[in-house]
Amino acid sequence: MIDTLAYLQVLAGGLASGHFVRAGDAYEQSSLNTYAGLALICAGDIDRAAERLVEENSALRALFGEAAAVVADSALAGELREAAAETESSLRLSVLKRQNDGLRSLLIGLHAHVEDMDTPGGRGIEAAIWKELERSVDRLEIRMPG
Amino acid sequence: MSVYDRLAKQIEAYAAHRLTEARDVSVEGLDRIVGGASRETYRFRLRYASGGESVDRGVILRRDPPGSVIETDRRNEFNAYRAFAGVPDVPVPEVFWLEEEGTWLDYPFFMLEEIAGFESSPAAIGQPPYAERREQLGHRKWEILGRIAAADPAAIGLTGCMQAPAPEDCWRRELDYWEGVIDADELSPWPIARAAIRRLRRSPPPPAQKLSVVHGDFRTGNFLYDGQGGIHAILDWEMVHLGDPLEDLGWTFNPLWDFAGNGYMGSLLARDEAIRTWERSSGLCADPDALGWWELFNAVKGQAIWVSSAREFIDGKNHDPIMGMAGLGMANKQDRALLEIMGKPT
Repeated sequence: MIDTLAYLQVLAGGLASGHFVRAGDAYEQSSLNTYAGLALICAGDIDRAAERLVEENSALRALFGEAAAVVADSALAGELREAAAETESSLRLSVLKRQNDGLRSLLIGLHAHVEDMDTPGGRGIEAAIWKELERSVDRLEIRMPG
Repeated sequence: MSVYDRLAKQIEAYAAHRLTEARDVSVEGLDRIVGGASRETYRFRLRYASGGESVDRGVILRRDPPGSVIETDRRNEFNAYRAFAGVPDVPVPEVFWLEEEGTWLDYPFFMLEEIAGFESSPAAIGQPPYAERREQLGHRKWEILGRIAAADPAAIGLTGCMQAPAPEDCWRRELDYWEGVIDADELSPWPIARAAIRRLRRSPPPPAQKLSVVHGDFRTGNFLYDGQGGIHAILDWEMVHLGDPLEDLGWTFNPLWDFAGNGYMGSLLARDEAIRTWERSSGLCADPDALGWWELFNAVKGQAIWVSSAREFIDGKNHDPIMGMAGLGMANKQDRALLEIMGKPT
């Protein structure tokens, strides 16, 4: 998961404080080019970050709602139901990302659990997890600002 | 006095200390080389008079940065260069001096011979004049890797200075280490890498067929090549260790190393051809299942390196933007590669 705001903060700090090496050599030029590339990537992401986080959080909650009825572990089922019932409390990126981190952590636990389940329900949830992971990779693909 | 002028003076003082018979020691043309996330790399001319003769040598300085993407042992890297200097068909630069304290240049470092006049860019290899020599370069690349795999670590003096795991423990040691890197450095959870790690632990590979020197980062971009299909130096041994020779072979197949985007392994050879070349050169067997395990492992290792890069950059331990680009630009590609290697989703 890209922490876009942290990247932008570090970039801004680096640009402002002159961490670059002496002017005019190949290394400085390359560094400036790379910083510029980073800024572009972040700019491309910042425009859609809230949308993709809301979309992913919503997809994970729906998946957890289905999985809660399938998993064998009652404590895990309770965590899944609780997470599935949550809604976005804010559209701030820091809040959305914190919620996304929590949901992705729970996804890891669920994934490990259903891998050990030899039932049609477990296999169905596992397949749904892989599909969601593929969609997540698609969402996070780097795009320059359009 | 600029940072470069100060460093040049420090290097001059150090060289004069090491070259006890030399007079008029000077450092000229000190420049930092682009790339190299784990060490700061500089080139310079070292000039001095000795025994009535003037000496003028190109030297590379590899110095530890304040924060490093990979916590590596520079002594291992130094020893590997020295060990392979005596191995036919594995070209390496000559190493000069190693200092493990920050007394002379603020941070630990070592110096080695500069081999000038060749290309190292992983993207340029897909363009003229190098693209015309793609297959030749590819065969040479995997031949050299085979020679590294075939080398006897004890005979070249590396078992005395590197840990030698039992053949059945090679995979566990590496997987434990790189999973630990993700545990320590992740800024967010990585569900795909975690699924890959579980799969690797469920189905470990067979014991290593021999204990080999593992370069650890043998990819296009870490060797010097020419337009006639020749490879002149294997570089960047910072992750060298003893282990399963299939580990290095699997690393060469990480899809991210196709920087030229031509669909070949490391932008050079088809996978089967690379394996055949390596087997001929090493005299070893690339068992498909075992190699598959090491390919997936190496995709996890790659993700651990990008995770660690992001951590170093975000925490401000290393301001080199290459760290930020590695952390931000490579992780998504590595996740996609992990999915492909695992055949997911079906």
